Amino acid sequence: MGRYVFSRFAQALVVIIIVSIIVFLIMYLVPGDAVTVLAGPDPTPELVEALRVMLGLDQPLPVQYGKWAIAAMQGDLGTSPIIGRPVSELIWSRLPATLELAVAAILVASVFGILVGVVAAQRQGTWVDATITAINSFVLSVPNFWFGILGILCFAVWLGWLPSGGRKLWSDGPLLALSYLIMPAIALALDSIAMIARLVRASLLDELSRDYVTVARAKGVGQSRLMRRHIARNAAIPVLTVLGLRFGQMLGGAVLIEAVFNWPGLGRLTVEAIKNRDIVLVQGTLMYFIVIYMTVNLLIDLSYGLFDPRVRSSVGGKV
Amino acid sequence: MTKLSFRLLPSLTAAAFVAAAGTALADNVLRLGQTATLPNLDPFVLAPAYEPMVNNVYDTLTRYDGNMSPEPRLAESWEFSDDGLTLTLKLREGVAFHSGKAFTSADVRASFDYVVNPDNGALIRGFAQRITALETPDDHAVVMTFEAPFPGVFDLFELFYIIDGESSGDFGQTANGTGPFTVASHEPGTLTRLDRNAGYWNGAPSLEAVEIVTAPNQQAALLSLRSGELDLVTELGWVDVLPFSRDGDFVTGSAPSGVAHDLSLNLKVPALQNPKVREAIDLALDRERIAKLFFGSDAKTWCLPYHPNSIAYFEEYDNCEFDLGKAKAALEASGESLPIELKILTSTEIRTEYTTIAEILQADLQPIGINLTIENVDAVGYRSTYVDRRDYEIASHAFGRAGKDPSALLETTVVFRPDGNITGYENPAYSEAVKAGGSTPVLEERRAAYREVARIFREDRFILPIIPRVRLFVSQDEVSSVGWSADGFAIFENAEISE
Repeated sequence: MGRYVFSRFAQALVVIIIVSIIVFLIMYLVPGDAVTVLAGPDPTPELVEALRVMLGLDQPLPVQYGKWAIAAMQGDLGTSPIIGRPVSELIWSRLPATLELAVAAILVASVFGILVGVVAAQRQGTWVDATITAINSFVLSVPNFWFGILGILCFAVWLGWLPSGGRKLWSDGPLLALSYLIMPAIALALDSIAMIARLVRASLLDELSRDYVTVARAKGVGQSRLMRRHIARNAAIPVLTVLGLRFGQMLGGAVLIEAVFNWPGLGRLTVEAIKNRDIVLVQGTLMYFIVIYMTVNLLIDLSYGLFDPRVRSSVGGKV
Repeated sequence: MTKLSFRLLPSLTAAAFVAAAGTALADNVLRLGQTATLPNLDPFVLAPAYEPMVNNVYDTLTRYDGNMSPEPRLAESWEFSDDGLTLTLKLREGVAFHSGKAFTSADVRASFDYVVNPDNGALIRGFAQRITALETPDDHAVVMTFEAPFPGVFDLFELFYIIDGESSGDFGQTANGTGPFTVASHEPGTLTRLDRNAGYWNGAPSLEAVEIVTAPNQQAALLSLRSGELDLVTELGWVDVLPFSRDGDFVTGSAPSGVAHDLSLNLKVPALQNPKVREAIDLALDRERIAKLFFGSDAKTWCLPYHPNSIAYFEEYDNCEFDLGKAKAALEASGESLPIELKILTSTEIRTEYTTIAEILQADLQPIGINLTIENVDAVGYRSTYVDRRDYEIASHAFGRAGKDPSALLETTVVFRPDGNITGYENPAYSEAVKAGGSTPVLEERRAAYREVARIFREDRFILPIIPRVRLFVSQDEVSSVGWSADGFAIFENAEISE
């Protein structure tokens, strides 16, 4: 197990190095840099040159990258030249909002996705199944932010039940915090609900058609026990994989939902950094995304063992 | 749980949320929504995102009133020497920074030093360099010396924010100004909260606080205004404002923005070196249509880059017209082989109007023999292409400092300044006239110089002014007395929210 985890993190390190080089190159190739932003709309050539020297952008690209990489290895992700704050501080300041939204959205997606998927599978071929399938298709074909704007219009403008955007801390009052969280979480979760529901339905129907289910029924195993002990466990693995991937994506920031609901998450921070050519901040947030994504995937891989003993023995033994 | 309580559950939940949210709304805090991100609290960047912050956290020495006359702020009075080369300012006493430190002439000196230091990237640096010496004979007196009379000095003061000499340079997290509001918290890209400065020299503001909320999606911001989450949204288009103007719960209005749209023609491009081609583009530029589309039927068009009440405005040169027949004739007289292929640089990210202007021009130029390709890039890509590399042919652009003293406009903006002009335009007569207009306090001499500038503008057409921007805004009807500076920056010093 230890070797397995170690090898996965070694892979992550390689990915981080490769991606950081690629990002450095891409940011170098696109027109403009942080100086373009800092120098304002009417700069003189002297001002541009002075700022370039001050930020070290006059140095060759390998030197710039090398300096950043050495500092990053020592835990110093640098300071954003645009915002004027350490990158790690900026990431930490946005992380709680991103975590909160991602956890809430994945909980909503899991509960409703599985519930809807089970109902659709149990009512296969009926109007209920057809309706669920149609709604799922609609949800998957419409972008999340559209539902977000629709939600604001209904629940904030017309009904006045929920705030239209922003975030409140749980220390300000749980109900208040929840009122700000509920709409972005649902809007972010909607397509995941549809996707998970489809997957659950398909997995359950696949499992229900297997021979072992017929044998178990013939042996008198009850429907509830059969579903809980056998079918659900086998159907869970693909669902878990998708949930893990979606959760990783959500932790990476949901840019559009964050923009619509004015949610102060990491997605918006990263987009702003890219727009401002703030390469130090882009690299910093990117490191975070890679580490988070690979950690979540690793945890998902390890959790397979909870559902499938064959995986458990494989991971626990030689991998 | 009974059936009845299940039915009541949604209503009870909604009521609980409304009650919870209500605690956040019922206060004396003005919430302003803007799409642009405020990255730091530097008063000298002067990008749109900083506009609601600067005049509320910082003070200036003077500020223009509605008639463009300078009013005392941190400078209580001032006096020019007879030759116009020296300006003595008497500073207000009893003013304190938010930190509690007393404001003195040393802070004016420190602010000046900060602005002229090229490492700090202050936008007004070039303009401030007209001050050749700044002395502080005592704690409440400042003497400024100029190489030549500097009639635009109050334009400079309008943007010359006074920072604390002891903490200048770090604007990442906080700011220490003398303005009516102090920075309570600043989360870049999300929220900046400004609390009332109870010890403000001009009396404490009525508002308890101002929150500058970054709302990246404008439609969502307008919905937040409708739901009462925001109190004020600025920088809107006419189409956005129209539905609110019919709704009694909201107040719509406009303020000068100090910004005007233009087309910049790069004279390094062979086809654009031909004056007849530039004339054809000018004649094919439908200013009226653009003005009405963006700002409604009351909108103005500009052929010269000044307001009609400017000393540099001359009606006889405000003579542009939209005539595709004449445009075609000018193009045919140019001797260029048609069609001419040109590119126009735009950035929807900076302003959607940039691209709309490009599209209107593209449609009008195509029938007369100019095929215009639109290059739409992001904001930084635009500035890099336009300002840094000057790798453009035509650019849909907007310049600032419109509506102030012409010397500020003509000497500091990239589109007008004679040295290193962004279009590649070089003309000793133009340089001479711009310099002459900005170096004398004598009105007749200035008028004569600027008449020559106006003549050159219309003859050489390297910059084609289009329309002055108007800052359209919508607020809740409870909000009143929001002020606007000559540049259209919001001032909340006297703003109120009624019960």
